[in-house]
Amino acid sequence: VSSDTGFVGLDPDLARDLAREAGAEADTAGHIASEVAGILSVAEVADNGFATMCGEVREELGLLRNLLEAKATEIELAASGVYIPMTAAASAALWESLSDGTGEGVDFAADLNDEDATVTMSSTVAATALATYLGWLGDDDPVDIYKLNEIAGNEDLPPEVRAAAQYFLLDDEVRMTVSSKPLWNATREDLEGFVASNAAFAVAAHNYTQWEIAADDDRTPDGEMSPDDLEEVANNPGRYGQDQSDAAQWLIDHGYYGWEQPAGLTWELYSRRIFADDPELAADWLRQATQEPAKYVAGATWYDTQGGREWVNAAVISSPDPAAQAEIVVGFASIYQATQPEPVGPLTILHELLDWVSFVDPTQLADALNAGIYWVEGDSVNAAISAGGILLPLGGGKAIRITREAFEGLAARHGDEAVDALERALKEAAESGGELTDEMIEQIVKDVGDQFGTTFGDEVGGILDDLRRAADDTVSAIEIESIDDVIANPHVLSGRNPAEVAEVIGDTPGWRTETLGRGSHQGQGWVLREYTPDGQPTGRMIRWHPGGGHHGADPYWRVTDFNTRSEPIR
Amino acid sequence: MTHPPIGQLVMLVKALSRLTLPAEAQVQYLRAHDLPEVDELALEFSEGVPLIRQFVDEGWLSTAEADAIVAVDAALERMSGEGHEALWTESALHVAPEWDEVRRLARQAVLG
Repeated sequence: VSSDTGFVGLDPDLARDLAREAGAEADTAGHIASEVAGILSVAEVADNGFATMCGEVREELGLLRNLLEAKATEIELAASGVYIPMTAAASAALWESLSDGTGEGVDFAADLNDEDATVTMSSTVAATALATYLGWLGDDDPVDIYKLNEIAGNEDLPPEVRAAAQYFLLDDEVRMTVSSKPLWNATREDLEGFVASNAAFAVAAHNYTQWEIAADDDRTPDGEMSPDDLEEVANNPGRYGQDQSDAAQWLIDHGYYGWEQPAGLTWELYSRRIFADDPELAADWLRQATQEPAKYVAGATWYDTQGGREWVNAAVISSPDPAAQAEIVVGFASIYQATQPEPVGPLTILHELLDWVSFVDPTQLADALNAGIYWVEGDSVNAAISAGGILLPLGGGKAIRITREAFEGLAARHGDEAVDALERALKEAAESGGELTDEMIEQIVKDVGDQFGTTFGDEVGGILDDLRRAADDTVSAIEIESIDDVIANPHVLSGRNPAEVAEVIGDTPGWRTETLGRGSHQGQGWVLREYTPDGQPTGRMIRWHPGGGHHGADPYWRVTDFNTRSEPIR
Repeated sequence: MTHPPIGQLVMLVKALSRLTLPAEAQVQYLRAHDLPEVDELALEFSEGVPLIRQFVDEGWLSTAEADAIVAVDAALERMSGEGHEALWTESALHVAPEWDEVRRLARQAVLG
């Protein structure tokens, strides 16, 4: 799934299943998916034919978009100086917060609702406060957004509870991390689970050096906290203590073991917090991070752009050990003071976030996203493959995905040289722009063919071409029957003009036809906006911009739902 | 709908924050999101402005905050439409005093 395009990538088996369900219009895609299963794990991706079946994926995609936008805005604020510089006073406040017994860090961020732009609390602190508050009320109702608003504005409540509610109200990221679903669907149980997970990870991090060798016969630190290690701890409360055994059991029960973690450091499920049980290790890690250009660490809120610009958000740091806390805080503060907050490339943000997401969602969703981003950026193809594959945008709302397994299959069939050639061709294509054009396909075919003199290049090119045609056919086969079709799948607007869209949905009750309200084409274009029966706009709208601006751009559509806005659709 | 969607407020605040940015960052945003027109800086923002009275009624924004946001929108409206096309280019973002004024008003709205 691409966060930018809404592309959906599926494995061959699933593609075939979907093709069967989707009916004739998807048969071609399913057939091709079957044919190329040995080489390419493909997803035909016409945004629409599979829309119904991809509902859950789409929901995740919407959340991801919110997440990315929220993070991008955070960075933009930092770049513009709105972000609060980490002064000595801020460092002191951070330290004070870390020392208050919660073991939680804080985010130094501009609180848009606070004229003084004060320090905000961490998501875990907020979750704790809310869970506690809900516990006080004995309230088992879901925490809906309106209740949060009520809590935030109730001056009779403790300030931390009000702040927690405000934090959730404004933070898309937190909404997602609390329960991997919108907060308005979260229950008190979700919040308590969130807090419990952090507690278990904190115990794991604090006792890492003992746990990582718990089941290892030679007792040699291997930097890996394996399932066996965790089970050893869980089954031996007499040796490790009941608290540790309980924490280990919690991690086992919830499947949170076996992920990669450097010795001495770990990060919890949502990658928002760095735990360190050794100040020296933490300091070394920080120094290493500062010395390696373009290195980012998921969840550490650490950004180091390829241009050498460095920026550290002194955020989400935690350790059960006060000495370690102090060291980390000082370390981050030092780094911050040594650098200037400058704009961070959006792709850097996306990388960080998508790796972050990969911890949340165990499916291939995040890997596919990562692959797509790597593709767009033209970054290391090898890295993209390692991350799960490459997503090839085909234009018009379609993409295919080449998985790591596919490349391994290529190597087995045609040797490493074939893979190398294909990687080079893909990278060149990626560096030249976002989409895989006919010319790029031809170039890939030529490069790969030239490289080792077989028909392999034609094979790959033919597959890509077939897939693109199949996707085109599927999109064009989709009919717009109602506004709901457009809201659910904005790509159905691709290639259509306002007149033909208006003919179908222009007279929908509650929706009014307007024109663009601002910009160079004010009073032009075509806008369809929804209003309530009492004349209030709901925020949902469909708009068409005629293009032709400074770049001579093509006309394009954008669709705004209650919580999301589509990318431009041409 | 009893309440306006909170997501609309989130999108409005984000769009407002983007209007505070220096030209370079605004251009970066447009390109990174494949937004073909500078118009999008204003359109993404102005889409949410008609809902602002509902946000105030809900207590999500104060009247002063709403007024500040409306002032940004008014500045954008003065720059819009026929005869002002030159203001809606990437180069204008860098040099036009009108955009500086938008940034000033937007920052005022964000920071209070």
